[in-house]
Amino acid sequence: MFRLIRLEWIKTFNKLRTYIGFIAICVVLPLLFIGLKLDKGRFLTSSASYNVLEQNFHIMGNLLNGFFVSQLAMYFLMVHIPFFIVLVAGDQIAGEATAGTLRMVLIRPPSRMRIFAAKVAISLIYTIMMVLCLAVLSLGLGIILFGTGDLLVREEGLLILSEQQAVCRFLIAYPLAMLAMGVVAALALLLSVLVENAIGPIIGTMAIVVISFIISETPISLFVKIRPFLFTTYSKVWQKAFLDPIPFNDITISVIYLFLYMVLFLGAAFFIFNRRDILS
Amino acid sequence: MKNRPCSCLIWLSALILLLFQGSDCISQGTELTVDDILRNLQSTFAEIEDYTVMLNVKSDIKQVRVPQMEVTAFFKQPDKLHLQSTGFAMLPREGMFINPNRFNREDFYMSILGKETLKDIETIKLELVHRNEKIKVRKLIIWVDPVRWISLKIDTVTWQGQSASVDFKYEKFQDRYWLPVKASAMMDLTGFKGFSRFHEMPDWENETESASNDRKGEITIQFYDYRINEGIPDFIFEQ
Repeated sequence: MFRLIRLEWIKTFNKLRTYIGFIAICVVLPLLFIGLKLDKGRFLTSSASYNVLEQNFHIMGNLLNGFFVSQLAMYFLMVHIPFFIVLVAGDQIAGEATAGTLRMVLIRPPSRMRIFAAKVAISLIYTIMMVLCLAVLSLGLGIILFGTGDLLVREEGLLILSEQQAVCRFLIAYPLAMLAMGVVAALALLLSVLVENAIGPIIGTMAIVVISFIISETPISLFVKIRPFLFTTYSKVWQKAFLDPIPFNDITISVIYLFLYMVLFLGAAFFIFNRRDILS
Repeated sequence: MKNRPCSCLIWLSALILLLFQGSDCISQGTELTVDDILRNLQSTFAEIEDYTVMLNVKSDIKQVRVPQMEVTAFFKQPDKLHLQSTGFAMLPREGMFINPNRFNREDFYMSILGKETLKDIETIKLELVHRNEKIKVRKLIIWVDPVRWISLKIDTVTWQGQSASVDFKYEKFQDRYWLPVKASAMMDLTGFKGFSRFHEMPDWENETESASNDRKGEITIQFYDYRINEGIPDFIFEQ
């Protein structure tokens, strides 16, 4: 099995598109952070609420710190990271079909199940690597450029988490983000087994993610009824890690739903992949 | 002899008149003016050349949830104040560090509102209304203890309508200086809408009473480890 995963790793990381996501993060994050540094915190202090606070309180401490900008980066980039994940996961099976190598792979001794499992594994590893890249780069660069400090959580009202709490919250938030992105990878794999053109699953998955996201976020009563059935409703679960107290019940429910969606997408993908006549 | 009762009456009238005038003079002498109160507050405060104090700050405002904060405050006459904290901290801006040197006729219209008993102490209620737009507060009401010449309570209203009411508890230090050991500030942060999440617009239009109440609460400050008149270098205040 490990040999199969290794082979999939080599195939995946030999493609240039695999690196697009990492390059994008490595370009966007420094740009964002340098912009914030040059802005000298005006982004934060120009809000009406900050002014109300400043008129009423002496405010001390470094609020524009590495933790705050990392949280900001998460809010900004977690909407775009699915696209990079889909680029790789959506290509796993459909890409081979397009290249005409899928039939050759499947006539080798490893079962379809093992081949599929290796492709799932590499898609999930890539997802984890992408979120890890975001975590390491944003926290590392953020702390170097802005230092550490208590974390201002942007929600209704003012919530400040101590440095220790902030570290714990990031340790909870990133794995939750990995899980949410894992569902996107699973969906991309599902669409990847349906078609023989790699572009289809990429665009299809992104279309589903964007439409679901709009329905999840738009406060229209019709959409409110649909929301519980969309995985994007639960994919923001990582944001709950920054609330105080941490809503563990809500997080558990979201995690269960995300796991169920992942199992459903992967189960359906395997069912189709296992029964499908591979003609290319 | 006939004129005797008449002259007695004149003398008695004169005496009564004198007595009334005298009592009026005495009462006028004890009645404190705004300037007297300010002078007494300032002279009491002037005895302290400088001080350093540690503050422990606890916030109990539903919409302002911050961890317990530790702040070091440095004060030096006439009006140098520096606050230092390792982490995030916020302290009520008005009323927390009362400096009577700031109360002057150039910046405020001042009047005495009367007397009021506060914690079994008869206080003089002093009202200060801004006359200078540079002043951040619109109105201040100070309850002054006329025996120790300290402020026991201070109410403030800002230009934006936020209000604070700070109650002080004092202790005597070095058998001489009355300084606050506890301050309880009731805050009303009207207009504070919070920092909305990045992609969610808060529901400003449908402001509920409970949401409004969530912005009211108490900030309690414990003052400890006073160091009085030990000398503080000026560079501390330049930070």
